[in-house]
Amino acid sequence: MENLRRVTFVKTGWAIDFLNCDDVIANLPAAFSGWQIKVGKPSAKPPRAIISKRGKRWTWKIVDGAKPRDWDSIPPQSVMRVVTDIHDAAIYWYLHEHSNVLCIHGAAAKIGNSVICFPARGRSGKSILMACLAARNIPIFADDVIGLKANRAFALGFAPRLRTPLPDVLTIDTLSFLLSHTAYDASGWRYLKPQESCKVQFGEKQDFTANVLLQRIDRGPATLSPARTADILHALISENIIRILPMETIFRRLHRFASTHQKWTLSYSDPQEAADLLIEKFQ
Amino acid sequence: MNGDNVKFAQRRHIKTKMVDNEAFLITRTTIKHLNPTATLVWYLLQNPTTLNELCDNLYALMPTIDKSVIRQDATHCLKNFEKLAIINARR
Repeated sequence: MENLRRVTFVKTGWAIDFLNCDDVIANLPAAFSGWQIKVGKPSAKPPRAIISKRGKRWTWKIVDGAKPRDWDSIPPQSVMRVVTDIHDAAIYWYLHEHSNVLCIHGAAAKIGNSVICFPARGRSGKSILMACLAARNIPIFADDVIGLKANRAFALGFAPRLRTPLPDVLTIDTLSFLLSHTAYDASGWRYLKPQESCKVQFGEKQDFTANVLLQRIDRGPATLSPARTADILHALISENIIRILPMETIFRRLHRFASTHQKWTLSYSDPQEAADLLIEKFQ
Repeated sequence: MNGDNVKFAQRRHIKTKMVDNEAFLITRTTIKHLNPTATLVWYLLQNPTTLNELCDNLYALMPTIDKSVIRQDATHCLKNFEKLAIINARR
């Protein structure tokens, strides 16, 4: 018997209909930790997409919103891939609807009263650094994509997502935190479950304190050294996701963002030591 | 790249913004950040300039640097600028 259910993202009003995808529905809250998700029956209102599972294959039918770029050329073979693709599509949908929001690849953590921004792309070590901060009770504002609205951080409400296996540099304490705070772990990815006091909701806004460039080194202690505006701006421009706004507007806003906050380069070999140094400096 | 038969110049409609003495070039579709040497070359291309003239101007600004190094850097910059489509080359 066919099992058709609708997932509604309450804060944006989007809906996705799922056919025979209970395993995907069950794991969506792991990714969308700062969202309100309601599961029910489809209504007359058209959904953004219909995702169906037939046998071992998933299909994504576009109704009112673009689908992930690689969905057809590299079809998903795991529930985790479907979940992460919905996660990525949601970012795209949000940005498409809010052209005034600048968005950059990077992480952000709320240390003390405001947010530290780490502009950096994938495989730069930022997610592990964020996980080490989370293990020290620091709320993670973003671990992959940061929204910038009127020079403030805008949270997209996704749970930190780590590649697995985890690096062997982690101590028992950090590892045990990560293992006990995992919301969903499969197919090479692990979504963390933030502690209740560290949960960041979709749409939450915070002031920034600093931009910090990440520089991983093979060995040596963690250090923070002053960075130049040009280097911060270069990183922000490289990691800027938005292309809809005029380039001059993007430059003006990123330049303002780069120049009005503290600027640092964090060099580190051990992410736990780096997390301790950041807390000591900014808390 | 020949020394004297081609004149290179900045394309129009590219905005230059300086941050920490380095140029950020804003085109319709991209923003490019130039390193200090490329920034200098970019400024020397405000008026049409041959490779030889460019090298002479750079040498006048940086007399302690070997002329062959200057020519190598200038050639490299011009090639990159052409690839980025931010300069015109006219015979």
